[in-house]
Amino acid sequence: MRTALRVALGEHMRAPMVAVGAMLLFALLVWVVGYSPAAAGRALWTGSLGSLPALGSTLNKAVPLLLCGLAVALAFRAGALNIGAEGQFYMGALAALFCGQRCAGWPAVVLLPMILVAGMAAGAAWAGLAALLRIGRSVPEVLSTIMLNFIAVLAVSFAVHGPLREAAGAYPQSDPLPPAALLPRLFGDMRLSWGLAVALVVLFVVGIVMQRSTWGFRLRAVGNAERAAAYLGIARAPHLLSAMLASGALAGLAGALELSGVARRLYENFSPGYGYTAIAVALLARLSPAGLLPAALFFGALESGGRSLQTTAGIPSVLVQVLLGLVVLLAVGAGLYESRRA
Amino acid sequence: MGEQQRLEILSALHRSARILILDEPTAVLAPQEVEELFAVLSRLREAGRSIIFISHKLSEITSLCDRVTVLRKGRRVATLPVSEAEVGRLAELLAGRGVPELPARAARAPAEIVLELRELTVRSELERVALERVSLSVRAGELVGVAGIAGNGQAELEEVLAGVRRADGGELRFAGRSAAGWSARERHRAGWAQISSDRRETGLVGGMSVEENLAVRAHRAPPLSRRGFLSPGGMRGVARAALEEYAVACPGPDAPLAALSGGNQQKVVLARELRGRPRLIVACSPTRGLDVAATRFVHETLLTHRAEGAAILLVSTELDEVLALSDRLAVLFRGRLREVPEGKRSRESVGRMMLGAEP
Repeated sequence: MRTALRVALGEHMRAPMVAVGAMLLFALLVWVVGYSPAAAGRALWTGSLGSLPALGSTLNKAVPLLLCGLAVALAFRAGALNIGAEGQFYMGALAALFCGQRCAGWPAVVLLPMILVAGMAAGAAWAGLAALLRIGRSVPEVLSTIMLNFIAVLAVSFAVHGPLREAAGAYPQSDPLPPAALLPRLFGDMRLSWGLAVALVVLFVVGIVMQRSTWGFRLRAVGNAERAAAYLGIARAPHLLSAMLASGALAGLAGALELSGVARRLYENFSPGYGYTAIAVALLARLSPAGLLPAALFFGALESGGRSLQTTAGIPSVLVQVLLGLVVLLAVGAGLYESRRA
Repeated sequence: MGEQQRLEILSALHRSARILILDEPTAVLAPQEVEELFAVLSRLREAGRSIIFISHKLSEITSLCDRVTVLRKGRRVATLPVSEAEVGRLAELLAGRGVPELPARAARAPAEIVLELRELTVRSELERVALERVSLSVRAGELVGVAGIAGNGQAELEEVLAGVRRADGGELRFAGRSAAGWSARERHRAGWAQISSDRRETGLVGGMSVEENLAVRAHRAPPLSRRGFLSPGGMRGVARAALEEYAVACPGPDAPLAALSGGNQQKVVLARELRGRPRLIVACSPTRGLDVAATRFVHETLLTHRAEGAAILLVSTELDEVLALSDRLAVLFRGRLREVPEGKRSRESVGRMMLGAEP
């Protein structure tokens, strides 16, 4: 796994080529299955970039992918394989909802930052659990974070069936957040939330910290050569823990932003797998903060366009999942090819 | 490591290979074992087998081989019959210049004890005793050598000294203070340099650039960083100074570490560890895998620091190196350390001690 990871980050991987290659293979697949690649392309286009609402939808999906991708990239850099962004995303949303409903009467200037912080804290705690298991009990974080994903998804499921179910009781979903806890829309017709602006600022700040701070430097050293780092005075445990906490906080923030800016209420399947797609985003970006934005936009467009595949072209939208898989395979494969030649 | 080596040689012999390629096969063997290996190799040669023997020890080449090829910086410099190649000429071909003698040692007055181990005991993972009540002291301006065949407790000794493993018993003192609980970072801050026996695994961060590797030890303080953020100018300055002072052959400070040869990587280690004149230098197999010129450079650097008052502990499986450099000498055998008596510092008697016999 770790080797595959290192290989995927090969020096000369061409992310755009990977994206184009995956699209071509996807067209071939669509044709083989018996649909028209041209219709599929049109549907993808209109569903992702073809209109203002479609563009808004793409951007709204890019926000959680960007933040979760940043979460994954930060942890992977430190050698912590956090596969749990999905669960941290759910816990972030759950904590934000709980906090928003408890303090419903508070003014927005206090309440909004508070629910975002609550989401970050919950995500950090969820990831921190995995880090402590790794440090204290040598439980591989790959396994524990996946397990914690299931628990988080089921915890949200329990919450919306039980204690946090809407007052009307019609559906297994929560009541909406109080108005003071909702992020305003950036532009009305695009249904675009301020979450995008928050995510871009966070990307910029975290990117600088990862590249330039001494802490980011130590994370890279630990992720690169754990044994050497220990000999050179950079202890593993505190850096593993702090990387996981920061990573979980980012994914938790994504969950809180999604709740407050887009979904407005919590329900089952709140995330269409953002936390998992984020791994592909991070790998396509080669864990570099600068590469995350295009990678998140690309995957956001696929998520968004995938829906209209079904509605306008009648092509099963699950085929888009195949496309996502192709991107990851090609990304890792290109890394392998480059490292062979080197 | 010594055991692995022997096993590999045995398996090659067992498969009755027609061509035998040995790359530094004696690095971890005792002198007596080397003689046995050479006897076996000579018999194989007489039986018509071809042997390619790669070594940086010239005496081995002259005593075993028929023809010798000298490589320098990836190029073949010369091929000649061994009968025409005496050691001085080979060393010259290898180094590309006349090899200077080691600097003569100045007589010194006894100085304060910098590093002291008292009855240090370490158990390995399998509860086997890896180090048993090892006592040792190193004074300022003194170079103490620890010889021994690999696998007799060197790895555990290095880990305890580097601060990545706690001893199971005994005391570890630095300049009079108990240092057993110090982290690797605290040791470095106190003026304790550690030259690791394994550059790739524990001495350097392979995926980072040369300047990042030079910065990694002291990156928390100016000029390498300020208020928690790296200072690129400071890092560049430190790297340039180090590359120049140690004459590292390197495309530039931002070159990936992997672009450097082993000898130049070791110079990066030296430059990083010896920055700021440490009081104590623990050097573990500091010349492993290095060519003649780089080995010479490491030796000269250690002796310079010794002359300037650093206390040096040299743990090495290279007997010649320990014999040539040490003021005092001890041998590690099955986890026990025995000092070599003053009159018994010959290759033969130290070699016997390395095998557990009386000097």
